[in-house]
Amino acid sequence: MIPHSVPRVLRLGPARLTAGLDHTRRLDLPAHRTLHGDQVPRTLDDIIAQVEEVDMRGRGGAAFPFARKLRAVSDAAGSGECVVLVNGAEGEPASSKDAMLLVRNPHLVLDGAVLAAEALNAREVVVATVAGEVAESSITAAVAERRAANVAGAAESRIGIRVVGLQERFISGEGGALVRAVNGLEPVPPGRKRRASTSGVDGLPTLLSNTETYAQLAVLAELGAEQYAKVGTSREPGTVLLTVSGGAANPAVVEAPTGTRLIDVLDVCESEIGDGVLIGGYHGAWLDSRTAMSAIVSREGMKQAGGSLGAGIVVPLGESTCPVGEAARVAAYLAAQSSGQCGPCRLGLPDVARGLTALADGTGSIDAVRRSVRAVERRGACFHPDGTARFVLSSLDAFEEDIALHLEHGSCGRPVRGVLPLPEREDEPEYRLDVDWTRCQGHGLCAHLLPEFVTLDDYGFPSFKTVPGWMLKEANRAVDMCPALALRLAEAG
Amino acid sequence: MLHRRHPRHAPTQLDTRNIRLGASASIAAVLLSVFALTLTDRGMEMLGRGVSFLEYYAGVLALVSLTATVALGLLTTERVFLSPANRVRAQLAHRAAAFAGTAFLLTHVALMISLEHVSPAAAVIPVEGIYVGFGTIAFDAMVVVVITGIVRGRFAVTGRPWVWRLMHASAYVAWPVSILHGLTAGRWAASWVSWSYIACLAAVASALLVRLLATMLRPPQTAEWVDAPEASDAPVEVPAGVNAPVSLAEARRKYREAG
Repeated sequence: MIPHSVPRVLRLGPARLTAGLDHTRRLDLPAHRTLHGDQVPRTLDDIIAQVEEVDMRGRGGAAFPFARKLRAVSDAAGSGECVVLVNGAEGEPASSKDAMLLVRNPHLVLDGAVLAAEALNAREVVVATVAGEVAESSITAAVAERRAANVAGAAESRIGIRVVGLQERFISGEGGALVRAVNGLEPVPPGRKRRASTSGVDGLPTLLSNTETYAQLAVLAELGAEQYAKVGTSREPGTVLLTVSGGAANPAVVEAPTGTRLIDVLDVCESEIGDGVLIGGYHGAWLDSRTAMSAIVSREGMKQAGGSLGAGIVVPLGESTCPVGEAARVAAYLAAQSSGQCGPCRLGLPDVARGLTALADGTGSIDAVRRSVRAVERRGACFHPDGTARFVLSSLDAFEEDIALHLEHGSCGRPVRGVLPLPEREDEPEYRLDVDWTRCQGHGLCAHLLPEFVTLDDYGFPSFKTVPGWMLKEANRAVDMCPALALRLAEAG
Repeated sequence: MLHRRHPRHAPTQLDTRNIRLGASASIAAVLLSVFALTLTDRGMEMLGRGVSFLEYYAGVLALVSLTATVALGLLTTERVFLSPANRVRAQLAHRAAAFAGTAFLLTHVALMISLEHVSPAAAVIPVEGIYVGFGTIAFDAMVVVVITGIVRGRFAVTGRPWVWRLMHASAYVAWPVSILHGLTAGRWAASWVSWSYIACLAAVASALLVRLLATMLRPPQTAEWVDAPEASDAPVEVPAGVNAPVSLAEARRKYREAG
């Protein structure tokens, strides 16, 4: 399989996860084997020792020590079954490293997952990714390539690999929601946290981690701890994948050793910092231009700068767009992405977004936004309300001067360009009331039943407005009750 | 501003949620108490009395509520005396009465069959003599009427709303036939009952007649002639120029010229 177009890749320092991607769109199995060699099975203790030596962490955002996760799954499984689950449904609109790995280098991810699965004696490997995207077809093709190679006599692992396509939502990347989705339940975060390592896919102990984690594991097994730790800082050796988008002229997935300066990463993507850089995605925080100039790419460096590396999302804002409006757009998106399970999140996040929008219009107040943020913080089953609160509070701090300008003049003079990438909004269905004028006798019952959407003219005949989807029941009643059978409902558009 | 979190139901007074809740609760209560009654001997005895009451009166109740339904249905088309709000209420009452009437009718038919007064076939085809046969015919027509009533909105989409009117109008056949059935099958009706039915029949027939006549005698609906200027042969007389300013620019120019 050769994908038509793929996420761009750049690098600073040595090529590890992105090795070989300069000359090809996708590494198929022979290319991958030539580049990375055959896979050698390891014992679990061997892997854990190596992982601990380089202090490898989960790369999905939470940075949980991977060795502890491995040990927890192995303890929970005992001599029973367990499952290895690859989280390839990031859900973050500003991130494309999962898609990049699955589309361009799927065998590296599978190598890592299979390595862990064989060491854990797992029942199967499950790769969860977004349904209907190129990533899904690429990883499915990769699984087929391995099976075909085995038929042809190669010694690929015979462990079962299952690809699960999911509906993409912002919260579908959350671990609990992902496990539920793979189990065939609704992809929403569970009310009570359960560690996947004790009860995950089909209730079995599950090793759940991000695609990049497994790819890093494969690289670590190939290079050995010493070679692996040759680049990067001493406390967090190795490389990280960063997704640079937004105001970058040259958006790409960048592989950089830890300890690289953030400004170098931004330079290679030809982006200007402008009003700030968003680190860690839409649940992350803004760095102002001065901090961003000196910030170091590593968990520790980002923490010192006041952000968190998270899943490695870097969004420079640039200077040409209105930062308050951009933040309001993202807040509105995040509010709409609430799964609607927890009341404070469902009702509070739209209020937060409204508050930010009012600020962008120059009518709101910072205090009102802070109050509505306080009503949602730490009041939900998952991290979504907290992460949104962090983003909004960070925006309030980072764009203080712009907000003051907005409050005084109604605008900072710059239009909202939509620099922060957001998926397109799905339109809610709207309905149009059609009237057969030859039948209508001007009874006026429709105007009585739908006073907000039907007005009668001087002769007593109706004129209609579009009816929103949530008034469908009432509109249907008007259609049913029309004495002349003259009304009907059609989808507007 | 209308908002989805605060939909405005109040002005139409049509929030029937309480009524629906009450109806469901009472139906559930009746079913539960029937179940509870079956548990004791005394309860079974009471239940037997209840069944024999329904055996005698379910048909009567059905007839009374269906009479009300027909009257209300006729009333909903009334435009002279009823405001739109009351016409909406009349439609709702028409539906509620129809629902009750159908429920009693089904009870009546089910009881008559299960107590073996008539054979099951009599529910669909008139096999049990002419008096019960009236009821069968009325029941068949009622089925058509009920179905058309439920799917009314569908007919607004099709090109032939008169099909709906025709089918729904079979109520005007079913109802008198069912009155005949009520007066002739079973026990003798008291004379005041007969008279009141005849009065109902006469009232509805006259209202129907008025409606039909009004529809047939309605003057043709054409747009009226507007009295436009008549054509004439009078000679041309051009009036002198307009003194008042026609446009703002004109006014400014005149003002400037005047100094």
